[in-house]
Amino acid sequence: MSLLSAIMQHGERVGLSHYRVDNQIWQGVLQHADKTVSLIASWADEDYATMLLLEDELPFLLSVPVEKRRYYAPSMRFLAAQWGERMARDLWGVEPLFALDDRSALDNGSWTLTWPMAREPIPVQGKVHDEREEGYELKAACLAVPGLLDLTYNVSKGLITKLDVHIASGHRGILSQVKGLSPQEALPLISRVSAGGFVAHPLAFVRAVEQAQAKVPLPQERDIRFILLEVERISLHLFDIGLVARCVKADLLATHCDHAREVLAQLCSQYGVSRRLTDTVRFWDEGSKVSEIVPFAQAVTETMQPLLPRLTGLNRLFSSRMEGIAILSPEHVWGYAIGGVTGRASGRYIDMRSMDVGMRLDALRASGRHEGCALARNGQRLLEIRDSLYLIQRIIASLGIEDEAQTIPMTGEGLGVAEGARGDIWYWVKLLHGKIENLQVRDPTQPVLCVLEGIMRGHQPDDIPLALASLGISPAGVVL
Amino acid sequence: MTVRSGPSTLLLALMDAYRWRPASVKNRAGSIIRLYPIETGSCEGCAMEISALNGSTIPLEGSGFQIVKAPEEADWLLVTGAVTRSRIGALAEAWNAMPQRKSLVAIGACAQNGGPFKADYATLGGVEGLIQVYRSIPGCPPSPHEIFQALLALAEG
Ligand code: SF4
Repeated sequence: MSLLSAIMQHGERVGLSHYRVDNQIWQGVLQHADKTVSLIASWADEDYATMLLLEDELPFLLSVPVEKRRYYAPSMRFLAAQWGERMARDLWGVEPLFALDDRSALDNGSWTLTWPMAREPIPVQGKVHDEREEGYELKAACLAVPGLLDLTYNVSKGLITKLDVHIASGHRGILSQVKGLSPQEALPLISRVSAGGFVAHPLAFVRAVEQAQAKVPLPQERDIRFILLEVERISLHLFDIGLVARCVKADLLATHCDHAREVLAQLCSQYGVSRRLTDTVRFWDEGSKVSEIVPFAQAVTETMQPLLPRLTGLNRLFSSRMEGIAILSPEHVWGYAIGGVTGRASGRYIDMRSMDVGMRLDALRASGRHEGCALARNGQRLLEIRDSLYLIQRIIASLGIEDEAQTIPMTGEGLGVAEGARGDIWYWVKLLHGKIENLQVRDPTQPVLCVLEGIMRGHQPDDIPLALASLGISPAGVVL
Repeated sequence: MTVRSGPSTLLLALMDAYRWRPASVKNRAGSIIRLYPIETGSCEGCAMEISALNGSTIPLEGSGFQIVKAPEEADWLLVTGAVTRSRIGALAEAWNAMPQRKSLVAIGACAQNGGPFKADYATLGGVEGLIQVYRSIPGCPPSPHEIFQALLALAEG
C-alpha cells in the first residue's frame, strides 16, 4: 500500500491533498517512508508542522499538531527538511526534536523581535550568538551570483574539506508582511520575492490561491501564463549560461548570451510587457496584461531560434572548461528532491509542467542527463531553451484550447506549483475571510543549499563561483 | 537545428560580437569613475541588472566607468536592496572604507525607499533617511541602459 493511501485511511483530510495525522502516525511516516517518497519542503508554525511530500510524482501535505512548541523533526528521515526546520524555529520559535541541524538560519541577532511570526513575539534583549564556525569566509560580493550568500569553508592541501552556507542577511520579513493581506494586495510583493522567478513565483502563488478559492483560469489565460513562463525560462537560462561562461573565461559565449537576453528583453517591452516580465501574472478574474500574445510569442520564437545553434556551438567549444566541475550525484538529487535543470542534469527527470492542466506535453522533449557537472547543466539549459521555443509555438497554434473541465471544492487552502527556470516553486496558502492567514514558500535553491558542501568537497576554493553560477543558486526566494 | 562548433563557429561568433559591440561615450569629461556595487537585501533583480550593466551590451568601461571589487578602490557606491538590519553594518563599512569625495547611488525602488518591502523587524526600508544619497535611479528594476544613462548624467553633473 502506498504511503498516501495509508494516510488517506488514517488521517483527517483538511484540504484538497492535505491530511492531518497524530504524532504516532507522523513518527511512523518518518521511520518507514521508503525511497518512493521524497520531501519537497517542510515548515512549522505554533499550531502545526507540515511536510510537503511527493510520492510517484503526486504531491500531498501531511501535518501534525505542534505541542508545547515541539514536533518530531522531518529531517530525522528527510535530510532536505533542515532549512525549513531552522527557519521555522527562528520565525515561530518551534523546536524540531532530533533535528539534523539546530542552528539559526535567519536570525543572526540583527532583528528587533525574536520569533517575529509567533503570536507573541519577544522584543530583543541582547544579541544572538553568530554560530559561524572558524574558517575562510567568502562574502556575497566576492561570489559570481547576485544575492546575499556568504560561505565559510575549511581547506586542507588546497582543497575544500568543509563548507557552510549563510543566507540570513537577506531576510526581508516577507511572510510576516503578507499575513493579513488579501491575495490581491499580496501579489505585488510576491511578484518581487525573487528575480529568479518574476513570473514563476507569482504564478505558483496565484495557482495556490485559485485552488483555495475553487477557481480555474480560462484556457486562454492559462496559455498566456504558460507562454510567459517559457519566455522567462529562456531569459534566465541565458543569464545563467552567461554567468557560467564568465566564470570559465568564455567571454565570447557570455557575449552571445548577453546579446540574446537583451534582444529578448527588448522584444518584451516592444510588445507592451516589462523587460523582465515583472507584474505580468494576474488572478483568474483580472484579465491578462498581455494584449498581443500571439505576435509577441511569434516574435520571440522567430528571433531566438536562429541564435540557438551559435550558443550551442560556443558551449561545445568551451566544454572542457566546465566538464567534471561541481558534480551533483543522482543519489543527492533524488534524496533531496532537487529539480529544475540541476536535477535533470543529474538524472532526476521530473518536470512539474507535466502536471499542468492544458500543457502540450509533446513539446517537452529534452530527456535529461546524468553527468551532473557544470557542462551537463549548461547543455540541459540549451536543450530546454529549444523546448521552450517549441512549446511556445505549440501553444499559439492552439491557443485557448479547452481541456477536461475540472471542478474542485472550495477548501480555503491551496497548493500551487510552477516549474521555474531554476526548478519547481511551491506555494501553500491558507485563507481566512478572504485574507492570507498562512503562507509558505519553497524555492528550488533551498535543497541545493543542503548539498553544496558535498558538491564542493575536494574542489579548490577558486571553483566556488563557477559552481554557484552553474547550480543557478539564488538565495532571495529561500530567505524571504 | 544545425550545430557547428570549431573554427567556423569561433570566427562567425567573433564577427557577430564585433558587430554588436556598443559604441562608447568617448567624450565624457573627467577621469575614470570606479563603481562598487553592494547588495543589501532584495529580490536580486537590481543586482542582476548591474551584472548586465557590466556585461557586453553596455559600453561601461569604454565610457569611463569601472566596476571594482573592493570599496577601498571605489568612487561611487551602487546600492541595491531594501537594507536589511543585518546588512546595515556592511553598508556602513563599505561607505567608511571608500576614499574621500565618494558618492552613493541608490539603484531601484528598494534601495531608494524599500520599494515593495516595508520597514519591519528585519528591514530598514531603503537608504533614504539613513545616509546622504547622491542620486537615486528609479525602477523596479531599472534596465541596464537606464542605469548607464543615469550614471552618465550624474558624471556630467
Ligand atoms: S527595486 Fe524591484 S527589482 Fe530592484 S531589487 Fe527591489 S524589488 Fe527587486
